[in-house]
Amino acid sequence: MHPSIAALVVFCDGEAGANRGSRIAKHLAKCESCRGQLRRIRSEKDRLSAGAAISDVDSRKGLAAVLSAMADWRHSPVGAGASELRSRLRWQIETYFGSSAVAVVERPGMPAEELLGRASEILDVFLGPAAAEAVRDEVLGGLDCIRSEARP
Amino acid sequence: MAALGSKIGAMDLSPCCPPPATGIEREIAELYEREAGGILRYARALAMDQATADDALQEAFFRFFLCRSAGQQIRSPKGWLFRVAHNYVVDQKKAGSRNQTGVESLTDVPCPAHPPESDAYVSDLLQALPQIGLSAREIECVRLRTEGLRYEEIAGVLGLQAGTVGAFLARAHDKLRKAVNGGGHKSRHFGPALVREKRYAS
Repeated sequence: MHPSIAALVVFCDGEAGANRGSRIAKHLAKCESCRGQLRRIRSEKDRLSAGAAISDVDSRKGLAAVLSAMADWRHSPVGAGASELRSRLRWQIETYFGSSAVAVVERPGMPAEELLGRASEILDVFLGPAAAEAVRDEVLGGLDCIRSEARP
Repeated sequence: MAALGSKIGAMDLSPCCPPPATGIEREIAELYEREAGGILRYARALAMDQATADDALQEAFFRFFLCRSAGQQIRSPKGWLFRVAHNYVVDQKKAGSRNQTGVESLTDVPCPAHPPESDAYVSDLLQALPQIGLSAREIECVRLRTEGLRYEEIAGVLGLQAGTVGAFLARAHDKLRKAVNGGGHKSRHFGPALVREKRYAS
C-alpha cells in the first residue's frame, strides 16, 4: 500500500518519526511511483524555499539597534523601561497570587530582569508553561526600549 | 491564599544562572545574523507593512534579551523569536495602530518581502499561494516551513498541534500540485508563476 501524499510531505520534512520514516523509506526503495511523488514534493519545497534564501535585511543596523537598547537597559537599571517592567510584574503577581506575594518575590533594589526571572518561575509552577508564557508576553509587550531612529 | 503565600515563600526563587552579559550579547548577535532575515520576511508578509515588521523584529530580540537576562532557558530560540514576532504583528493588527488592512490575510497585496527586481519568480510563487486556494493558516505554515522551522516550532508559533501543522502542509502541497497540473479551478491565476518557473529552470 502506498503512503499518502500527506505522509510523503511529512517524510520529506524529516518529521515522520523513526518508525514511520523507516516504513516509508522501505516502501520508497521499491516503488518508483512514490519516488516520483517525493521528487515532486521536494521540487515544490525547493521552489518555495528559494524565496527564503534571499536576504534583504540590513543586519548590521538592526543588530546595532538591539545591542544599543540592551546597553541602555543595562546602564540605567532605574530607567523608564525597567520601572515599567517592575510595575507590570507587580501587577501580575498581585493579580494571580495576592498583594502579599509581591513582598515575597521582590527584594528592595532588585533589578527588573531578576524580578522577571523570579516571577516567571512562580508563574511557570502555578499557571503552567503555556499560561506563564502568555503572561510574560503581556508583561514584556510594548516596553518600547528601542529608539525608533535606530531601527533598521 | 495563605497556603499559596507559604508555597511561594518556600520556593527557591533565585533565577537559574543567567549567562554573563557578554555571553548574552554574543548569543543575540549570532541569533540575529542567522534568523533576522527570516523573521523580517515572515513578519512583513503577515503585517503587510514594513514598519510593523521592523518593530516586530526588534521587539522579538529585545524580549529575548530580557528573558535570557532573567535566566529563562529558551529551548528553541528560533521558534521563540518567530512566535513573539507573530504575536506582536497580530496584536498590532488587532489594535489597528499602524495598519490599514484586515487581519486575515497574507493575500492579495503583493508581498513586499522581496523587492520587485530581486527574484520575481519566487515572489510570484509565494504570492500565488492564496490564489490557488490556500487558507491563511496553510500559507502561514508554508512560510514558516520555508524559513526552516520544524513542525513543533511552527505549532508553537501558531498555537497548533504539530500534527495539525503536518496536515496543513500536506493540504497546501495537494493544492499546489493540483494547480501545477491545471486541475484547480483557480489555477489560471497561477500561470505567470509557472511560466517563470520554466524559464528559471532552463
